[in-house]
Amino acid sequence: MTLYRKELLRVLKSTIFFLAAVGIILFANTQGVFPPHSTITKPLPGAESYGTKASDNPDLIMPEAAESLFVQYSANQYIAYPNGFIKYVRLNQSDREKMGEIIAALSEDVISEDVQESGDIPAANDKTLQIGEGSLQPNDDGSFQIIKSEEEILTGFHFNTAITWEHFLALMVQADDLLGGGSDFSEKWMSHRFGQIPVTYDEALADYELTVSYDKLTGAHARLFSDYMGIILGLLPVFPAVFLCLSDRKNITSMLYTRRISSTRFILARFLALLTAVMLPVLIMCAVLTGIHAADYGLGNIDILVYFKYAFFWMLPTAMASTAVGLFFTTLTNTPAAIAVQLVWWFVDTAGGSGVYSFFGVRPLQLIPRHNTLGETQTFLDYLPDLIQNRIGITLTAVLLVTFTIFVYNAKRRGLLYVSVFKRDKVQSAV
Amino acid sequence: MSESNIQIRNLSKFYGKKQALCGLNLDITSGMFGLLGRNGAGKTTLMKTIATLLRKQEGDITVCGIPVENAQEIRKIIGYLPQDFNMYGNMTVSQALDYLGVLSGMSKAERHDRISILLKQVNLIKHAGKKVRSLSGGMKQRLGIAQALLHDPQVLIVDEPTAGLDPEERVRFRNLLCEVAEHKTVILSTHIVGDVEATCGEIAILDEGRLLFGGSVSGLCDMAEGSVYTAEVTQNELPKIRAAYTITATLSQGKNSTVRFLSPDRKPMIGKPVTPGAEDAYIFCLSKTGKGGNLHDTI
Repeated sequence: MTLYRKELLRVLKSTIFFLAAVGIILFANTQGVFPPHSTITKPLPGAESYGTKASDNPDLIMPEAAESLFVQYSANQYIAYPNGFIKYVRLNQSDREKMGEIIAALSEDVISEDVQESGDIPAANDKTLQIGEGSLQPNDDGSFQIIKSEEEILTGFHFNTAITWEHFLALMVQADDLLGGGSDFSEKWMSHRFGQIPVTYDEALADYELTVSYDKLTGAHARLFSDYMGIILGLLPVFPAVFLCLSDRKNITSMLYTRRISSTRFILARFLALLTAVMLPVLIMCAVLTGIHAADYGLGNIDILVYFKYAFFWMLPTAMASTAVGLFFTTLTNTPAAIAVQLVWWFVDTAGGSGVYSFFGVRPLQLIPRHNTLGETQTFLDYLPDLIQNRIGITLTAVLLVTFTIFVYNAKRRGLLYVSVFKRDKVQSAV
Repeated sequence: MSESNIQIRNLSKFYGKKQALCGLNLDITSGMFGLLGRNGAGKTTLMKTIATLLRKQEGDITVCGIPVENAQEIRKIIGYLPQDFNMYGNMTVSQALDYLGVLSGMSKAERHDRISILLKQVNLIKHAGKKVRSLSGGMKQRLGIAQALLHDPQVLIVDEPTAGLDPEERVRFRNLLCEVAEHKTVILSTHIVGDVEATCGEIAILDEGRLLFGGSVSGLCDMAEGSVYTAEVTQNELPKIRAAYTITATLSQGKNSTVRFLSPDRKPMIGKPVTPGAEDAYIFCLSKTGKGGNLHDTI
């Protein structure tokens, strides 16, 4: 506990922490969540729009999904998230032909019988595939373009409305399998991606009432706050961690290494101190925001602890992961490499979201869950089980990295990683 | 104080293909123990291995009866002052000691008591609130010895502590080590023979990881008895003397120079025998390996 306090003091007194704290607060301010720019109001009848929501309407989903699949098929470039990260899929000749058969089955146009039977692409002269009035022209890179006439590129897609929902779903399962899973065409995400419909007044009212009853208003604000804080906590905590570890220069480490403290206690104290420091500005903002909402909505109408619940449940695992990355890679390499690692993870995570993931919900090992709206409590409740799994997964990842850090630190104390690719120059000086 | 002994048996250590320590055997008793050798002789490797910072590959080391493999226990009873000691620059002297005291598992009361005793002992009490980054080299080394003594270890390992200190600081530091060594085992690694001569009862000389000599300073001097000569030569004769003998010291006096040199195998044509000093004996010992060379030390 004493070491934790001392490490915390060291972090709090550092310039890098000051800059990180300012960055966190400024980010919250510029995103309109500190102080909050909007309040939750009861929807009024007759408004122009109440937003959109996902639906399971086959009439809406089927043509939208089929056209999206067709566009990706035309370029032979598909987007999928098989492991939670974006992956651009290009199909080989054999799979492309299978996907072509799915497209053909979805289209009201008729692909020439030669292709249907053999899967071969007849040339355009032997290489052109007839689809209704147009033709499917293979490019040199293996993709296709649709030629309606001699010159005009076909951008539309004529969905075969005769297809049943069950048949459509079966075709989408095939398409998703061909893409390796995790695509927009998986049953789980099709309604979010292609089934967006306007929210009615009654639904908006129901959502409002849920926000009042379940969230006590502040829960919705806390979610939006968590959404933005996740983005910044997914990156900034790596900096204090890296700088703290790098302050243990070569001629300091040997004195630290020969102390009786165990590596586990030392690394844990350091990790917890860093975590406390980066969460401190967040917790202060949570307290201030609770006060602001108490003034806006009345103390009796809000949950005064909800910001702190979200801080620990939603934001803390993200901060833990980025701190652990800083601790692990800096201890391992004695370089700021952790910053690059965390930047890559953060960039892939934030820029890699597609469709529904971009603004709502969570992938299995997504560092930064999203809920980029004020309200939509039911949507949150729908993905809450996934969110819980994700937060546990990210927490375990952080714990695993901290455990590895302890092993690495302990090995270095015994000179085991002293002679390494990173420290080759020290071999001679040690003699 | 027999439990303060360090026993080293057949110790070998490799860095890749390079052998840093070759089957070393050594017994270190309480008091000051000097470890001499050229740069690269294996002194730091030996010190770091005793201090649990490096893992040995062959042989055994026990510190106060505890095998060095039991790093957790060894760390309780050793204090270590590395070469080029440094500490977090933004900490004050007392904050630095307090931080290291926490890492040594000391209670708040223990830290408070020990820090004030040590700051007085190393004459840093007036600088307790000074930032580490603003300390002079000598003050930093004194802080270094204070941190090494913080948890009152039975064994103190100091690696070239006087390098870079001015003569006054050097003498003060040596005296401090002697004071400490009254109740502990202090291993002093250095290539400054004067430091060892002035402080250590027992010494060991290492060369390329091997033990060249182990014993007392007087024993070392005895080895060189009859092999050290002095002569007054002109500047023109000096190159010939250098070519023929291992010179341990040269004192220039106008056109003439007084040289001390080694002639272990035969009586030289010039000069008269003198009583060897520790430095002569050290060079004599190294010269027996065939790599002695000249010590161009102008007195």
